[in-house]
Amino acid sequence: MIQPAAYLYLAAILFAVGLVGVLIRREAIIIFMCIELMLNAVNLTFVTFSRLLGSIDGQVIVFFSLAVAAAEVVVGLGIIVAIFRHRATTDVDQLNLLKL
Amino acid sequence: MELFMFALLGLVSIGSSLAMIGHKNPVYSALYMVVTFATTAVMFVLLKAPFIAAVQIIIYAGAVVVLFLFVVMFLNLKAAVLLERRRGPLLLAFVLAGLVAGELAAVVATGAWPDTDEALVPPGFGSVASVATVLFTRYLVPFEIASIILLTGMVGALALARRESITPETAYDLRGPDGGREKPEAGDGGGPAGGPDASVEPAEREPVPIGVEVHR
Repeated sequence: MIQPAAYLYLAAILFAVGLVGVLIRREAIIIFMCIELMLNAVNLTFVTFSRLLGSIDGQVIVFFSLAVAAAEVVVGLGIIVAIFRHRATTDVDQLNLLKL
Repeated sequence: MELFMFALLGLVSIGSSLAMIGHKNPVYSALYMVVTFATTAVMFVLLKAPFIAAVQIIIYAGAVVVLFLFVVMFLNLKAAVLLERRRGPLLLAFVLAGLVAGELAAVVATGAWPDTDEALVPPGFGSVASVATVLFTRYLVPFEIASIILLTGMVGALALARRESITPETAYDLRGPDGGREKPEAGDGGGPAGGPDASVEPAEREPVPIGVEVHR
């Protein structure tokens, strides 16, 4: 195995890229994709530590993370569709009112 | 060999994630997201987690990205909107993300990671049996909670996506027992009773078929 720090550096880079995407994009769907990318980077960190410590618990936590991410995607995309149905846009700069 | 694979996968995943956040078309962003998740799945295999890698491919590339693509095509976003980025805080965003990346890298650099050897990992590590043994014994209660979360997500998505459709059965409730004649504006939305017929006395008005009037 190569140095485990390499995987951790890569996960940090992917997390930062997802953070940049969340900050610079306007479309709610793209922001949502970037959040998935950040979750994925954290999953990579979990699996790396699972390999590093010889413990299977990290992989089980990644399994739970995937399940929660799937539920989150379903509800989040449902919210985006509902917003688009009322406002005809998903630009987060224009979604600044709680009322419809 | 592993170093070569890691370098290749790392470059591909970073490049595809950058293309994902930079592309103006959300469909291409979703496809670049598939590439990123697939490279991460291969890295899971390198880290002796084949079951998690398979689950990653099935859930992310199989379900989540298809859902994203479906919603992107359903929303029919205009291309002119997609070109725009946030011009003002662009520099601030890069500075903040660079700070976060530097912080994470500093944590990694100062950590004393143990030297990994093959003897540390038992044979069959990361297989379905080894994950399931822990999942269904020590993490049994979180597993059940995860199923409840998935059920809640399904119900929530159905509740959010439900269109308030007015059928002839519910139209009776909306219009009241007298067919909505006390309030003529209730059923004026483009139906045959709207417009010039509004001046007619309510008693003389023709009874409108329910399904025609309320459906819009």
